[in-house]
Amino acid sequence: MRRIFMLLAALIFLFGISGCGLRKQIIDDISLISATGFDAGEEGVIMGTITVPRFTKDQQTQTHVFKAESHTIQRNFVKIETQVQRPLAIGKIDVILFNEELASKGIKDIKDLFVRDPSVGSRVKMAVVEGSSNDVLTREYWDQDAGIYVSSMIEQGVDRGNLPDANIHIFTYALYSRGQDPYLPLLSVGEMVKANKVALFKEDRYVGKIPEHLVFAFKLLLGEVNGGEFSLREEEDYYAAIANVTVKRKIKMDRTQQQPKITIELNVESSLREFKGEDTKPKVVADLEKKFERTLTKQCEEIIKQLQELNVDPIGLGSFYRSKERNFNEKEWDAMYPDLEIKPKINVKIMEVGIRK
Amino acid sequence: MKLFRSKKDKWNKKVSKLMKQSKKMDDLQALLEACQESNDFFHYEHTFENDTLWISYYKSIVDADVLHKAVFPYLEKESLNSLEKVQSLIPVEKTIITSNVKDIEKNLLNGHMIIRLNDQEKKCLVVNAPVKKERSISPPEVEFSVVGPKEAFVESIDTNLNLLRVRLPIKELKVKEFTIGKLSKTKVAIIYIAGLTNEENVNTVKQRVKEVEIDQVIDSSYLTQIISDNPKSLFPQLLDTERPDRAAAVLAEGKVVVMVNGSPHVLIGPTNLTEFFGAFEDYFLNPILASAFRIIRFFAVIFSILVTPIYVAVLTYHYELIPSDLFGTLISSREVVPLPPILEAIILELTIELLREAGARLPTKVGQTIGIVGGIVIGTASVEAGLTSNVLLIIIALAALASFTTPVYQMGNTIRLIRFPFLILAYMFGMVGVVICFCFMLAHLLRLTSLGRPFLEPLYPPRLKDLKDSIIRFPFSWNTKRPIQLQTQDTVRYSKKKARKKKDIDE
Repeated sequence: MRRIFMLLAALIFLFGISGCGLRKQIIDDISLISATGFDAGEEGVIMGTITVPRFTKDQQTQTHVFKAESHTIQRNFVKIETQVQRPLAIGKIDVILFNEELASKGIKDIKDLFVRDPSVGSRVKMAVVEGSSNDVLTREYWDQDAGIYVSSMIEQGVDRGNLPDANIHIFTYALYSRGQDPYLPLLSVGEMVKANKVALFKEDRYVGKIPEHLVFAFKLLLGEVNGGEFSLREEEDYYAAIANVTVKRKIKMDRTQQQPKITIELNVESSLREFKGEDTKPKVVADLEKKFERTLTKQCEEIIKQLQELNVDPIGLGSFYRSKERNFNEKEWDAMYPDLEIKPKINVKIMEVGIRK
Repeated sequence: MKLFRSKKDKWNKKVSKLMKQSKKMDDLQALLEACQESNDFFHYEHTFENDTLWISYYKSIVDADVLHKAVFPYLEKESLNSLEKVQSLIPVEKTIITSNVKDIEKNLLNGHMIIRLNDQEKKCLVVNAPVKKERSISPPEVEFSVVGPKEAFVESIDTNLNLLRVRLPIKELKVKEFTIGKLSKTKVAIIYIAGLTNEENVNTVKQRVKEVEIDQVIDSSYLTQIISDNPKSLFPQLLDTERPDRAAAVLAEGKVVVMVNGSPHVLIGPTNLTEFFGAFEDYFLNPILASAFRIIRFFAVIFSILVTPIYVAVLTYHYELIPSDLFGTLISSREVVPLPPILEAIILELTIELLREAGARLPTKVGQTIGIVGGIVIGTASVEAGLTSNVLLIIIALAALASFTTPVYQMGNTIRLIRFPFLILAYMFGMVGVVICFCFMLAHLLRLTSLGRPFLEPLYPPRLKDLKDSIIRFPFSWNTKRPIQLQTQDTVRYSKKKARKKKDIDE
């Protein structure tokens, strides 16, 4: 009893008198950053934008946007700190945006700042913006906070749409694993902000993008589609759409030759959602499956060609090769990769056509 | 040296004075004189047709009916020349003739009357005629149950023993009575089943009860505080119950029951932590239902202790832990509150404690009004005035509600108080503080014993077999052995084979 008392007293004195208590961060006394965006300025200057949601008593949300320019990000934060009402807190940040120009210079250093901070989660989303990230964050999203809106837009695109999953952890993993390159969602900015493309990275530098119509096939190649949708249109009057797509990916490597031959087997299962054409007899469905296979194979080949031209490997084929090859050399693989024979083999199965009568 | 001597002299004087006093008390005349100083002591000569008798008793504890109906009528026409004759004439059981003054004194004060042939006589006939004024058996109020027996113990130890023996009509049920309390002379009974209960446990209780040094024992809770293994602990180490069915059930498990005259609650030991979260009603329900309710109760307790400290810790230090969707709700509710979370929490906790105290001290009907006034008026008013956030109000009300789910009142009190150190440490060190406090609590619980048996028993030391009737309750056919914690002499309750056997409809 006495010992407990002494220990408690010691603890209180230790923390109390030395003044090194924890810093209090009471939630309504801090400015929570919901999103931050970085744009390239002139002469290596980085323009930083942050959004701070303001929750009012009637459950409405306003967005306060702050902007600063500097050579370092930390300096940007310090500059912004002079403008805000309450101290900034970065722990609940949801999304980090980069514009294309900055991303093509490399984003490793900026990303590291967030990885280093233990209060930042490892599932913070990252995305590249066509144009200016400041533009994305200063827009009005009805009564929603800009940062939260963009973050949930990307999240639902990953969950239900065709966007491949990417966050700060996946990005860092791909960046540091040998024989793999990272990718990020790419936001296109027009009348609306859309999360519909994919940015490809070589190391931490943005080098190319997958256009909107190929994003689904890209996600297929990553082998992580779970409930996506895909439509096909061959002739004027013939189109079909499949939903509830799931895929099982199998990579096969033939290493009998000097250069390995890679086959990416994709077993796609789906259900027919929309179809304009004849009645869905088994024969018609089988024919439809063939048509889907043909289109997807073509798209996949197109993507692979593009990846090889850019010499980027977001699928992680190098990583797969490394698991089979004892003497893996990243440089050799990089030299070999553009000329490899990589074939997609797609097997589409329409599991159900639904009841209409 | 002189100083010592003078002290010694004083001591000797005191002793001799005491000796004199006791010598005086040996004298029956002196005793009667002392008694007569009380106005409720009757000492008079009763005249019969042929003879007279001296009768003395305390009218406040003796049933005069016995005197009028069972003594006087039988003595009317006889010649009363010896006490033996009187004894043989009156039809009252267990009368004794004695001249031992100490015995006489004890009996006089325990509802006996004495009859003597004349005032100078030293021999007395002691007749047992205690007045019986006791509450009739009523339904349990603290440990209320919807189904099951509706009897509760009362204040009289004899009635209570009756309630117990009716449920266990076996000769092995032993009752050992002791008298403790210098002034109150309270009867304390230690009850156990011989040949089943571990002798060590019985002896521990006996020894502790015998060694109790106190002037008055009003209630069994006095005894809990004195004979517990660690009386300073906030956690009760002896279970108290007002249900005779529960007492009988634990006796059959091999526990020891302590009954105190004048208390409607009996004590049960050795016990363990999980037992405090089991209501006896659990045994009246299907084991699956009972297990579910016990788990709910267990979580309710953990929730009740931890939820406010975690709220304070998270809102003060760890904003990262709050889900994004909850931010709007939390911040907008706290927007207008000028106080830091800790003050807000303490104010509300204290309000709830006030309500509880006020409700407990007031008569039932007023108490209900207080509950409504406090709960609704103060609650909504303080939120509207912007003194507290409505989220915290919900949390605290839930925590208070959850703490009421403990079936044992004593444990409920412990839970009520124990969250305050958690709260303060949560404010000082955040989650780390909560963890530190929890470690202290756990270490304390680990060190606790109940009659020398580990208090945290089925959990630590882990006894898987005892877990069958702790947080969850297995069917009766599974609990065929007595708890390992009790180290009973006879470990088997009934045959597992026969209990599990499925009987055909024809049998």
